[in-house]
Amino acid sequence: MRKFNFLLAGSLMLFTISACTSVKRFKTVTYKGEDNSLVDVELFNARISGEPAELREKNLWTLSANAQSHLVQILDRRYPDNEQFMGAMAGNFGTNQAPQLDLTRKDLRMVFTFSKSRDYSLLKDASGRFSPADRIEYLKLSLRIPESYRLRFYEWNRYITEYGEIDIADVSFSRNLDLSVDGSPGSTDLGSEASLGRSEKQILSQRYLKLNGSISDRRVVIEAEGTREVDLTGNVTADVSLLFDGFPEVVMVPVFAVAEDGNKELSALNFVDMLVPAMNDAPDTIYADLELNYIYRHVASGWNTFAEWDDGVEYYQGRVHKKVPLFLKKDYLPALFCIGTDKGARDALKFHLSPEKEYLLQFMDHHDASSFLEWLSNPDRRQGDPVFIGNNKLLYKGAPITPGEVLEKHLKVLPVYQAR
Amino acid sequence: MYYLIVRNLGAPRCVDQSEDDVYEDGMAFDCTPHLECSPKEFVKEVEITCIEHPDDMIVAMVFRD
Repeated sequence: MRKFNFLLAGSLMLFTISACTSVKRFKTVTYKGEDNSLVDVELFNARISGEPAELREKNLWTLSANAQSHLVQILDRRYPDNEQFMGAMAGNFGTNQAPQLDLTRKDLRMVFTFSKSRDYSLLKDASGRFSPADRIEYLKLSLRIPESYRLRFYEWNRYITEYGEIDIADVSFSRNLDLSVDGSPGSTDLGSEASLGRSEKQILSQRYLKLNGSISDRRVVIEAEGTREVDLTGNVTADVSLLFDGFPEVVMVPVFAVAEDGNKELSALNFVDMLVPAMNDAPDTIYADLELNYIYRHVASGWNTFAEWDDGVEYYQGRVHKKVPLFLKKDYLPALFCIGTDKGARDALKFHLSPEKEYLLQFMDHHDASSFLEWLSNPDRRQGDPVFIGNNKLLYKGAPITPGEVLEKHLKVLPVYQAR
Repeated sequence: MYYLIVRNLGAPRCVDQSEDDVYEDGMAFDCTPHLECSPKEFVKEVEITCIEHPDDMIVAMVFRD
């Protein structure tokens, strides 16, 4: 009989210890259905990086200002003949291909904010669906770009959550964020165990967040699953690269030399091929479709303790769908500049090579355009003679232009694409 | 005179002109020139490619004076 009592007491102790362990996920669990009002998501910030203009070839124009100046001096010494000098300056280093600037790739940083609906007024109400121990346990976020924009996702660069940061340079990823802990983050002073003199210390490597992500042409998907006590509420930052379809442009790069009299002389006007975003119209805002699917872990009972093993859990699933602004016009329009007037109909200077080859005289930056305009309207020039660059004319409204007309018509530097 | 006009980022440009309407779907053109044109009457739309970037089709408009 005594032996039986010992066995019974031992079984009870064992049962108590195992029942009160923090390793359990919950006490009870039920699936309660769909509720789309428990979680919300916002695209808190979408910021585009500066133009990641990429010159694909090495030539004079890819060098720094200092290096350019040195190279011009070297070429000047090496090629006293003017034609040879100009040819050498226009060449590429180590390749015969022309340089090309690419403005179709944009790096975008998106900050998403996930928030829970916190209705404290219904805290003790049986119909309430909020407790302080609730958490978003799983979320799948999808951002889709409509096909009409001719814009696509290219690759992930980085993914940052409140729990860690992942550098990625690919179209998909799957990572765990781990934390080595000494003792359970959920353990508390377990009364019955303390009296039994048992400490429930655990040495474990706890995976606390599992992340997946993938990118296809039109869609980026982020999937996150939090384990014990990890709430996915908060901010998530995703850095991605996007690629527009390309449209060809030709821009001019003027090269100036200072003459003996101190005046700037145009020594060359070089053509550089460029790719800009291809889009028929230029919408003020580019929108994307944001969709969030989530699993919400509502603690209906047992939320007064930090540990989760005693929770009476009710699971809800929900979906949020909204349209979010991704880019503004100023973010994707190429910053090219021309020389012309915007009084009445907009007209700009053109460079005439042949009847089939007339190009807008456009520059990669404001400085180049202003320097060219300054050279063009220099009062020391013969005001009545048409402007020639080499054998080619500058045209305004289809007719050759003179320095006098440049001043008279008040031509100025204008953006080629207008953000407003 | 017939004019081939492409539009990118909201800005139209005349890239080719011809005395006859020779423009058809699938043709390739140099899309970088800005020719002086006087388009008056819309004729049709054609899908062309730019020889500098042949991967993407773009919609161009044919006008005549």
